[in-house]
Order: sequence, then C-alpha cells, then structure tokens
Amino acid sequence: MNPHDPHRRSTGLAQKALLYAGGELDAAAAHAFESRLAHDPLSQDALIEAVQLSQLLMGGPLRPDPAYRDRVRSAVLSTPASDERPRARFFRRAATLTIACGLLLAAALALPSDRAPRRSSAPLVVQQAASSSSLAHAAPTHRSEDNSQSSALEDEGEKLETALEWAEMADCGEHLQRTWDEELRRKARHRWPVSHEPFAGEGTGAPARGAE
Amino acid sequence: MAILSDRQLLVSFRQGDACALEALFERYESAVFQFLMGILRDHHHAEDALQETFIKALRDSGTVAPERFRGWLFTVAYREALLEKRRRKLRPRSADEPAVAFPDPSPSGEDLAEQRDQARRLRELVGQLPSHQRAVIEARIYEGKRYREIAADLGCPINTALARMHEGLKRLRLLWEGAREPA
Repeated sequence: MNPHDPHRRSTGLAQKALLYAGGELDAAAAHAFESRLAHDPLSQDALIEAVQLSQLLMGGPLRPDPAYRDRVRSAVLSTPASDERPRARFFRRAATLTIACGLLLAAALALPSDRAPRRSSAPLVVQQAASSSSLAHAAPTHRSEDNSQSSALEDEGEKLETALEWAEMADCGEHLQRTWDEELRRKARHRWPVSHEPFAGEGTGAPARGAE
Repeated sequence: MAILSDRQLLVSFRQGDACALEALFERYESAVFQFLMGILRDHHHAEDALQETFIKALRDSGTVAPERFRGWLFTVAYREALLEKRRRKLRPRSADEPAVAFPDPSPSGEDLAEQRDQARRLRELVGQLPSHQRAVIEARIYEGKRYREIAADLGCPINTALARMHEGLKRLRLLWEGAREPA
C-alpha cells in the first residue's frame, strides 16, 4: 500500500488526532504532532474533527461563553484597524527611531569636535610653554645680551601661565569667560603697550611687542 | 442573503462595522475553539485563548492578505495555546484539575437536563452502529478505557481500534444530525 496515498494519510492523521486529543500520544509523538498544528491545515482539521467527535459523545459540542465576544469587540472596535495602520505605525516608529539616532549621532560628533581641540590644545600649549619654560629659566643670563630674546621669553612665560590656567579649567563657561578676559587684556595691551606688560619694569626697558 | 467573503468582512470590520465582526465570530469561533480545546483540553483556558486569538488576529489583520485570514487565525490560536500551556506549566496544578478530559463548563440545571437527554439519545444511536465500531466506542466512552487497552482487549492493533473509533464516530454524527433534523 502506498504510504503517500491521500486517504491513508488522512486516516493516519485522524488516528493521531484522536490519540492527541485524548492525551494518549507519548511525549515525542505529541510534540511532533503539535509542531504540525502550527502550519498544516490538514492536521488542524483532523484535530478539530477529533474534538468534535469526542464532544459529540459528551452530549454535543461545547461552546465558549458568548461574553468573550463583548471583550473582543471592545478591544478591537475601539481602535478600528485599517490596511495602513500597522504599516503606518511601523514607518512612524522607524522614522522616530531614525531621527532619534541621527540626533544622538550628531550630538556625539558635535561634542568631541567641540571639546577635542580644547583638550588637545591645552596640552599642546602646555607642551609649547613647557619647552619654552626651560628657556625662561635660562633667560636672565641672556636678557642683557638680546632684548628681542628677552621679549620673547616674557611672552613665553605668559603663555605658560595661561596654559596652566587653561589646563586647570574644566568648565566650558569658564573657558569662555577666560577667552573673553584674554581678549580684553590683549586690547588693553595694544592701547597701553608698556605699563601693562608684566615684565615692563624689568630688564632694559625694551619696547613691548604691542608697541612695535 | 449572499455569503460574504473574508475579504469583504475584513474590509467592513476595518471600517468599524460590528456586524462584520459578528459574522467573523460565527464563521470561525467554533473551529478555533475546538482547535484550542484539542491542544489545551480545558474549557476555561480554551476560552481565554480564544479571546486573545481574536483580539490579536483582528488587530494585526492588516498585515495579512484577507484570503489567508483563516490560516492567520489558526497560527495566532496555535501561539496562544502554546503560551497558555507554558503559563499552566509555571502554575502549580490543583489536585482536582483533570489531566486529559474536557471539563464540564458548569451547566445550569436546564442545560444539565438537556445534556442527559442528549446522552440517552446518543446511547440509542450507538446501538445502531456495526458491532466492531460499537465495541470500541462503548469501551472508550462508557468504560473510560484507553485506546491501547481497548486494542489489547479486542486483540487487534491500536490503529485498527482507532480506525474503528473514527469511522464509528463519523457514522454516529450522521445519525445524530439525521435524528435532529425536523421531519
């Protein structure tokens, strides 16, 4: 007999469904049959028939309490479905997510670009100033010989001081305030070149940079 | 009145037509409920799963083609049944909960009288079946034997006992429906 014969297959399914509905299949066979119920309409129908037949012998088919319909009605009719609704919901969520990700990415990119130069500039200035500070320590021995070198050393010393101050500052607002102050000082220096120079009274009285 | 297709019913339902929803209940409620009963073997759990099945299947019905609505409904029902089974496994089982049988959904006095009357008429109809089918059905239903026991008692393979049961029940259904039709 052909095992692929549709009649034989349906008979086999019906028998399995009877055993399954009666809880008489062993665990492996029950699991296998249950897996078929997920997608196989023939197995689904076989189970439905097995249950119908079993219920027939118990005095007719059992029915669910009609009250469940009210609950379904209130759940699905209060938010009417439409063809586009799930799709539109999906796209709306996707768009929101994309925008949020974009904003986060932009913020992530903007923050380092905003901070990085400051972070990197401070050590750079410190480095520059530090290298020049050795010159500054050595400066008094050469100041009398070369006025321009003296002026440069003063400038470098000021840079070191500024760099150290900048390095200590952690707050952005503090940086801005400091920048503003620096700018005011620079303008003032241009206006009164000698009297406002930190080392104006020392040395040979060489003209300050702003006066040149 | 013309029978509306699933597509027509779903289109009406999506426009908020409660009558279309009623028609969908009428069309699928019984089959889905029996399917769930087959998996869960418990009236109340099957009812809970039925409710969830309709809610989820209808809410997301826009994601499937209307002509595949039946398949979609059973897929959702299957998932709900497995979820319910898993929940039951996590819950401690009460001592009076039956292992296999379909429990009685607490019928009223009137329903009980009707059920008894139906059971009496069924027994009469079973008497009209061929003896080999009748023997299996009586052993199963009235003596509560398992199929393996029945096969052993009758000295036949279990598949033969099952085939006799299946054929006998189908014939019984025909007799039952014939007896209920108005003369």
